Amino acid sequence: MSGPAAPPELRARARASGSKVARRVLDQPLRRIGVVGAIVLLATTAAFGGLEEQTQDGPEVLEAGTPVEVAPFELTVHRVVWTGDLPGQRLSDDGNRWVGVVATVRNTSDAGVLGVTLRDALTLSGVQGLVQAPVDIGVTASAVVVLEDASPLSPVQPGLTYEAAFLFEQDGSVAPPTSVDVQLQQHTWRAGSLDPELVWRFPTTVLVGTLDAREAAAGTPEQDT
Amino acid sequence: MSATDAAGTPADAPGEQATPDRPAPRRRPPRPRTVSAGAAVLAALAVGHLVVTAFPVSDRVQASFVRPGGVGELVELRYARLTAGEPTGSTVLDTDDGTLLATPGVWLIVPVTVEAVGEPRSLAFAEVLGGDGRTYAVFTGGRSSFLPGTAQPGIPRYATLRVEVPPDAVPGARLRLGLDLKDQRRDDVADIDLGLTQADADAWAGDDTPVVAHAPSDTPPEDS
Amino acid sequence: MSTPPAPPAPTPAPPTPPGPPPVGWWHRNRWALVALPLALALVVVASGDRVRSLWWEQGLHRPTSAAPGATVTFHQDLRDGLGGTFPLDVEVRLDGVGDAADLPDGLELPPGSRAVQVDLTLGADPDVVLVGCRLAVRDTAGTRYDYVANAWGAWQATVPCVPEDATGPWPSLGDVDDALSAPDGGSTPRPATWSVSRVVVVPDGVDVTDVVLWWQMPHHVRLEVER
Repeated sequence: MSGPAAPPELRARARASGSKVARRVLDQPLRRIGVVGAIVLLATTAAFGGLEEQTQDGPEVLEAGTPVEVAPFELTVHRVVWTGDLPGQRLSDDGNRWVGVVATVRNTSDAGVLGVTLRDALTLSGVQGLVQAPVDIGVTASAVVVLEDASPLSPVQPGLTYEAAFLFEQDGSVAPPTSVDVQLQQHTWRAGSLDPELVWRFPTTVLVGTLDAREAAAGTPEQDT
Repeated sequence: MSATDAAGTPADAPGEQATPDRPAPRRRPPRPRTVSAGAAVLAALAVGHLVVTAFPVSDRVQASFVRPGGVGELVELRYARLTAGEPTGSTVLDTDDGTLLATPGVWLIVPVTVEAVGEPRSLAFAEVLGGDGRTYAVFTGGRSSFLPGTAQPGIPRYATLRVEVPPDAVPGARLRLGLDLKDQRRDDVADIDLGLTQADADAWAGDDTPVVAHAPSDTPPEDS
Repeated sequence: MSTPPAPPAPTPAPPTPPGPPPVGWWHRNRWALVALPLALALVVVASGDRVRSLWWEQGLHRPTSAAPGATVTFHQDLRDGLGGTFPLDVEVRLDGVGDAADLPDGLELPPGSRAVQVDLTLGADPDVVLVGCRLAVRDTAGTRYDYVANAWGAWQATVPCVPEDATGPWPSLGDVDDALSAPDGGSTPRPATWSVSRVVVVPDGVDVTDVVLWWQMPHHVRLEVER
């Protein structure tokens, strides 16, 4: 098992070559060659930033009412409410209810961003019976609407501050949540490996917080304080 | 003596020394020709890399053909002739389907007349370059949108572009219009100076009379 | 020591290689020179794939033409979107192009335009998929004016080249076929030959020179109009 890994004829050639280095390398057992190879491989990653210090250890704690930077947005999560009826929004089943996360949204980049990116910026986890299937970053909202006129918030223009609600549909047979885990994701402005177009990609969870949820007072989240 | 020395050497390592008329043994130093050829290949690769990176031509090769224009001027593009009408604005938008939209900024409305060239065309790309240097996205749907539909050649199509912008983006704003929603490379793009001033921005920011964004049609809108 | 070794023989000068006298650079590299234009041509072809996808397949470039009043047989292997193809065989004749006597219900002509009626007679096996065809007229300058089913207030037939109540089979969408309801007119057998009249809206003053019918570009049927 611990004998030399190289085939005999290769070793014979190495001996005949007179090269001490070649002979000694080929006399090594396979395991040692593998370990040394791995070390060399890891060392070469240093040239591409492999030794850079990791900037973040894990998601930070999200608190209600505090503005946070999650590129390309600045989000201020205010409250989580639920209601069975929301003007202008259609539930897939009449018995279902909306769980709404009310937040202030600002696009901090220098160009308009479509709503699909905003939807990935705030997701829920730990809520039973959500109609949308969870993806790797949690459950994304069915819609993000502007509170004042209930229109879908897209595109999100830079330099404007929107009061919006991220709406998640929950199965009516499940009890409404008393608290939810809200995840905020940061995007990166870069090209894909196959698609050279520069867009906001790779949502990464940077803040997680557990917020209390309660029933919306007047049936609409915008009239609730 | 030298002859004796010379004769003794081959005896020490018989068969090891290469002689001109024998086949070369396995070990042979790389020939100078091989080395120089390898160096030449590496040098060519390095020069090629330098040429590609030193001259950023790909941006220029792929650049759009920007056709400038102003309000009321006909802008001739490869695929259509466009005219942007006088912009209007307010803080409330009437979407022409019974909905009123609010905005934290101002609504900017631009009537656009599209006349297709060559074959029916559906323009899908639009964006507003604000006077503040930021780019305001206009999609084929959503709050800020431009969806003129298909224009038959020779039959003008009257469409309306709507976009919400902060008031400080209004002065000096320019409208860009193109054919393909995602890809304007190597194609014509209209760049229309909307001729807006700070006075327009102030007037719109203080106005809550709904401004109407008409649905696209082949018949000119009656008012406006 | 008694018989000292013979001194090594002096190295003989390398013999001049026998054969033809030295030849020129052009002659030595003649095969590479022959291959060079071929390689250049290959480079152009290999890097020209965008010509196919961005130009050739985006326009009507391969006509199957018919003189005025003549019947033309058109064949094309259509891509089914699932990686395969299915054959299309159809006969088309242009019966006439003129001002539409009766406008479709609800059609309101936009200012500066007129309605042109295109009369076609077609023939095909009842099991040939013809759904997906597009119809247009062109003028002397080659400008194309498309048939639009739902525009200017009117609802005309969605598929311009088949009878509305007997369209024949629809293209397969793969595994979801069973889950879909049969489209209107898809269940009635299509006759062997039939005629259709469709209205195309064109600007005033346009002189229609040919009618085009196509399924997938660049192939199309080009029917000349009697002048």
